[in-house]
Amino acid sequence: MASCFLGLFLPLEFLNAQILNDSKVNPPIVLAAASVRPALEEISSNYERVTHLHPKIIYGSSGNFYQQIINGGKFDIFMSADEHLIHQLQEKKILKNDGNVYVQGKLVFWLSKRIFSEQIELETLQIFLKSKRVNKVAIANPSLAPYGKAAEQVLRKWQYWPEISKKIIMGENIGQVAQFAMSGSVQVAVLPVSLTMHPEMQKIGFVLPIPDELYEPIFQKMALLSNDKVAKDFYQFILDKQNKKIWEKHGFTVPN
Amino acid sequence: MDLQALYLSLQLAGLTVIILIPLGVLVAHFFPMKNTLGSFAKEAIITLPLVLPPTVLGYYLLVGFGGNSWFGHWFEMMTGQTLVFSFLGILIASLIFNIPFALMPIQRAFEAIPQDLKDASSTCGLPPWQRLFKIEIPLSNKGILSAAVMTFTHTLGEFGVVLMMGGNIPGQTRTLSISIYDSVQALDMQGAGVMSMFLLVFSFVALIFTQRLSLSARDFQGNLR
Repeated sequence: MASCFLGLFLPLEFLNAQILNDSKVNPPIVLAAASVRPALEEISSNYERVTHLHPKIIYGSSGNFYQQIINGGKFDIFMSADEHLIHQLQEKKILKNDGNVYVQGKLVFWLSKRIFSEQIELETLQIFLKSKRVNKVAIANPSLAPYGKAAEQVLRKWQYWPEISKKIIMGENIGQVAQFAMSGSVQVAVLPVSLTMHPEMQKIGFVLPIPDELYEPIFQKMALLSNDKVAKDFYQFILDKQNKKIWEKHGFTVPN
Repeated sequence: MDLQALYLSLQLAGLTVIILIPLGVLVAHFFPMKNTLGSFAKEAIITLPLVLPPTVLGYYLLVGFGGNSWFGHWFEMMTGQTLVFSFLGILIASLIFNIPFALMPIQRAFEAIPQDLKDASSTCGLPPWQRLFKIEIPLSNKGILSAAVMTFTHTLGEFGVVLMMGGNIPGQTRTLSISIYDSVQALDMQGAGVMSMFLLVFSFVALIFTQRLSLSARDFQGNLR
């Protein structure tokens, strides 16, 4: 019985286990900031409809991806949640192009409806953050995620940073922060507006926009990591003007 | 259910078992447990991946095989691919991480064979390699099967090392356990739930099977109890 169980795995192609599409063309591998997930998924399925190629997109924190890239990982496109990491890669001469700013992001507070029975003002939130009503605030790890760094900037501007650290829980990337929020385990989360649009998130929380003056503007930049033809094609597709509506639908601003 | 990830997980688990079980049999045959420092050290090395946090193993593999290491450079020169962020990379990590699960049950099963039987076989003129195939393996077949099932199930559940070495690349290193993590972060709780239930049921059934194995109806002389 064990031998037929094991016999399922004898085909010798497994050492070359690249389970790609049957086409001879390799789809591009994209490292994308977690904040762009909903929008990029839509753009990617449009691309797939046209070209029948399914790009392989990995979502996570820009900081982690930066580390993977400089440690020799072979990827095609990097869509960071900031410009700084792209510039650092450029200095290390790893990029195959100069990069393009693809969107500007917006930071918001997400407030759990369990604690907040109605939408409140920013000033009221400032008071609540100090009170016992809020005992867990989720942000992304500032050393890994640009949106986490922006969250820290806001809290420092309000001069809460040392004292609020006792209440802070850090997600490895903002996707994880969104998941903390959705699980109902935190009262307040600092997120990009794109991730608060999920129907479940809307149902269980309020969104409070954060004024631009409180944090450095989040310009998200992308760049090519390889000279692969398909990668360049998908890269141009993402930047195409027709996608402006999709980005804006998810709360991003598209620069001209 | 992410079928690509499931298939990848099954491949990884299958390959790990196919490579480690014969290795375990050879180690148990050639290096039986003795009262020497060398033997204790060997046991310690085999047990080490069991107690080390996966992140420690992941760290050393990244440093030792990553793009900046001499081995990583050499590998890239020979094959044109990186070792890290590839299926081969997570396979190597899986082999190291599963050594205790594969080797220890086989070791114990070999040790449980009475020395009299082995001596008797030598007296009858059986050379050691034939003793391996005719006596030791048949008598420890339950331990070997148990090791195979445990290794397979454990590999399906591997997460930390695979994530660190693999990079979550769909079709190459995104195994089922990583796909669950990815789904949760994408707020796809239903998808994560389906895959988690699968792993839970599979592991439970595998463990029941292993329990059944350890209740044998025959003792070492082959007599029914």
